[in-house]
Amino acid sequence: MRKGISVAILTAGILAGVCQLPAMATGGEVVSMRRLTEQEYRNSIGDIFGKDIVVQGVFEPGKRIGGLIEASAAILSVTPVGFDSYSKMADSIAMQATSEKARDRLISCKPGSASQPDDACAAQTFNHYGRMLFRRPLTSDELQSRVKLAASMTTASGSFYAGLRYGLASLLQSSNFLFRVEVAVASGSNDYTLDAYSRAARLSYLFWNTTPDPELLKAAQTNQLASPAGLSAQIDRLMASPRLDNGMRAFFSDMLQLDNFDNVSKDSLLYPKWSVQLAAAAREETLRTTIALALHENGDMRELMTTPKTYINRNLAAIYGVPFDFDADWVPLTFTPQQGRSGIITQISMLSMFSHPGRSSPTERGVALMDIFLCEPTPTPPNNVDFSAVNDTNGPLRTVRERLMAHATNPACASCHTHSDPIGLSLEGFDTIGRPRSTENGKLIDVSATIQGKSFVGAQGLGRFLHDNPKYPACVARKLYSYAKGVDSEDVVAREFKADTKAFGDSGYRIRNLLKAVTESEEFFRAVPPVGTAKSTRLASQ
Amino acid sequence: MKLDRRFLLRGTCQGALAVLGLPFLDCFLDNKGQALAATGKRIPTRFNTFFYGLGLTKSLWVPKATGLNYETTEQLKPLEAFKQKMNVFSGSRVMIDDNPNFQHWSGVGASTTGISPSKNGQFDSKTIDQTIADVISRGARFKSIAAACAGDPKQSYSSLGGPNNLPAEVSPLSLYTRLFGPGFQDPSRTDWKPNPEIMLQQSVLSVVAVDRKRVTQRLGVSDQARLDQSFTVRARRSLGLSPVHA
Repeated sequence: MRKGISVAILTAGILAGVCQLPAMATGGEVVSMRRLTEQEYRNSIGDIFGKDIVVQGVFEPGKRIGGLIEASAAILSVTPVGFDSYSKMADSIAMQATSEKARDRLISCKPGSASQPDDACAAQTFNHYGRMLFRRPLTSDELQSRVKLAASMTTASGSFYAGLRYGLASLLQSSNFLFRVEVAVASGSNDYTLDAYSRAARLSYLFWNTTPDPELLKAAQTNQLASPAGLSAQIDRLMASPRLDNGMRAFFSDMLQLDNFDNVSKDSLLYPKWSVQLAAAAREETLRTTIALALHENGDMRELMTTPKTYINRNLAAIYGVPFDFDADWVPLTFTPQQGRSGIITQISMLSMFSHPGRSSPTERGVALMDIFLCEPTPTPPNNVDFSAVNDTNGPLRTVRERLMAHATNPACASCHTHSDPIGLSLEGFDTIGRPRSTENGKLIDVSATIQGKSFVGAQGLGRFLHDNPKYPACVARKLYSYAKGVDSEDVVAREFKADTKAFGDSGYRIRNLLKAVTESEEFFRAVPPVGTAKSTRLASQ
Repeated sequence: MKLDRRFLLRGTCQGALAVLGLPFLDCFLDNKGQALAATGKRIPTRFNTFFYGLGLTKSLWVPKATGLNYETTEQLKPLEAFKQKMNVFSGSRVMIDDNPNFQHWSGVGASTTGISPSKNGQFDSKTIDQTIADVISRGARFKSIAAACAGDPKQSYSSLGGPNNLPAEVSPLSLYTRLFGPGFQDPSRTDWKPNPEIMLQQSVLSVVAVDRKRVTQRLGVSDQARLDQSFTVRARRSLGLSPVHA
C-alpha cells in the first residue's frame, strides 16, 4: 500500500512539473491581491457549496490601516501558520462536498465507475467549482493539472470521489481563491482599468460581501460589465437585493471599528453587568441602528449622529435603564430627550470600546471619534510623557477634566489634547460601559466643550456638531471609496471621490446614492500597475 | 521545572506563556528522556521567547551585581533554581536611527529583530525566533508555535518581517488540537510510520504551487514577496515526516 502511494505522489509531482510552463494570460496585469476576510471566505463557501458545509479553522487576523481593516487585505500575506489552517479547511470542505451525503446535490455528473478515474466528470466538476472559486474560468493548464491529480489519486485510492476531493482541495487552497486577484487591462494610452471578472468580484464583495453569483459571472463573461449601461443594470440589481445588508454590515463593522469588541474587557468588580453577551449585543445594536437608517429607511446618514432611535435586547436594557417586557429578542426603542443619548456615538458600543477597563477615557473616545467620523487621525504621543497627573484618580483632582487640564499644560501634549479632548469630555456623562452619570468622585461633571470655535454641551451637543460638520459625510465617502477599492484612506486624494461626495450630499446623504456614485464612477475601476511588472517597467522607461 | 501537557494548557490559560517554542518535551517520552536516548537520537534543540508587558520594576528585577554570584532579586526569586543556567540582560539601549520613536513598540521591535522599526506595530525583518528556527527547526512538524493569553491572535511577537505577524493561538483547546490532535504521532514509538495523509496532501500542494507560480509571474515585486512568504510552508511540509519531532 505504501509503495502505491509513493508512486502516486511521484506521478502527480511530474505532472505538476509539466504544467509549470509559463501560462501568461495575454493582456492584463495583476494590480492587486486582496486576501479574503474571514466573513468573505465563509460567505463564499456558503454560496458555492451550501450553508450546511461546516467551515472550521483559524483565519489570519487583519490589521487596521487608514481606519479600515479592508485596506490591509491588499498588503497582508498568508503566513505559513495561516496557510496550514487554510490547507486543513480546504481539505475539510472538499471532503464534505464529495461525501456520500452531499455528492448527489453538489456533483452534477456520475463517474463511469466509482473506483476508476473519469476525466470527463472530473473536468466538469472542476470547471464548475473552479469558476465559482477563482471568480473566473480556469485556464486549461489549471484545469488539466486538477484532472490529472484526481486521476492519479483515484488510481492510488480506488475511489473516484477521493480523487475529486483532492482536486477540489487544491482549488480551495490556491492563491487564486484565498486572494481576490484583481487584473487590469490597458484602457487608453497610460490608463489601466479592471477586467470584467475583477469588476464582478469587486462589486460582489462590496455589495454582498460574497463571491459573484452566476448572473454576475455571466455579465462578466458576456462583457456586459464593460459598458456603462450594463454595469449600471448589475449595480441596480445588486443594490435591490436584501443581501445588500450583508455588504453594508461588513463595511460599517469595519468603519466603526466594531471588531475592537473582540478584545474589550471591563473590570468585573466595578462593572459586574459587563459580559461577553453584553458586548456582542452592543455591537449588534450599532449595526442594526446603522443598517436600518442607511438601507431600510433610506435615511440621511448625518442622523446617525443624532437619532434617538435604536434597537435593544434584554442585556442592553439593563445598562440603558429601561424596562424590557417583550417576547422578541430585539425591539426598537426611542430614547427621550431627557435620557441624553444622541445617535450611535452614545451607544454602549462606542462608549465602551474606547474607554479603559475601569474608567472612561475622554482622550480615547475623542481620538477614536475624530478618526472614525472626521477622518482626522491623531499622531502617537511623544515618548517622554509624564502621565502621573492623568492617572492619579485618588488625588486632589477629582474629575478627569481637571486631570487632563493639568496634564495638558505641557505644550507638546496640549496641541493634540485640545484637538481630541473636547469631544471626549462632552461624553463624560456616560461611564466606561455606557451608563449615564452626573458626578465623578462626588463632583459634578462638566460636559461643555469648544471645538474649532464652536461651543456645545454634552453628547447631544456633540451629535449636532458632528451632524452639521461637512467633514463627517466627506469622511463617510472617503472610507466607503477606500473600502471598496481596498486602499489606505489616508493615501486617497480627495479628487478621486469628489463627485461621489457631491452626489451623496445632493441626495440628502443617502448611502445608496453614494454607493451608486462610487461604483459607477470611472475612478472605481481605475488601476495603477504595481512596480516591477512588465508593463510598469515599460511605462517608466518611456 | 516540571512540564507536562497539563502545564502547557494551564500556562496559556493563566497567561504564563506568551510565546512558546516547539513542544519537544521530554515528559512525552519519560522523565529523563531515556526513552529517546534508547532510540539513539539526539534531543533536538528548542528555542523559546517569552514576552509580557509591564509588571517588572527595575529595582526589583535587575540584579545589583554582575557575574555568577549575584543576589537574586525579589522578582527573579521564582527562577532561583535555574540561576546557574540563566543570564539576565538589562540596560539595553535602542538606537532608533532616523525612525520615529514609537511608544511601546520601538524597543520590542529593535530587541527582537536588531532593526529599529520604521512603522508602528510592524517588524522590519525576521524576529530572532524565526531566524533561529530556520536553523534548528528543519524537518520539524511545526517550525514554530506562538501562543498569546490576551485573546487576540494579532498579539504575536513572531514574524517573518513585513506587515504580517505569525498569528498566535489564543485558546488552549486550539493549541492542544494543533499539537496533539489529528496527525500527532508519539515520537518515542519505535514503529513510527510516515502519515500517508500528509503525503497525499503533498501532491495537492504541488498543484497549488504551480498556481502560485503562474500568479507570481504577473505580479509586482512586493506582491511576489507576499506570496513567497506564505508558500515557504510547502518546503517545510515536504520535510515534515521526521519521527523525532513532535
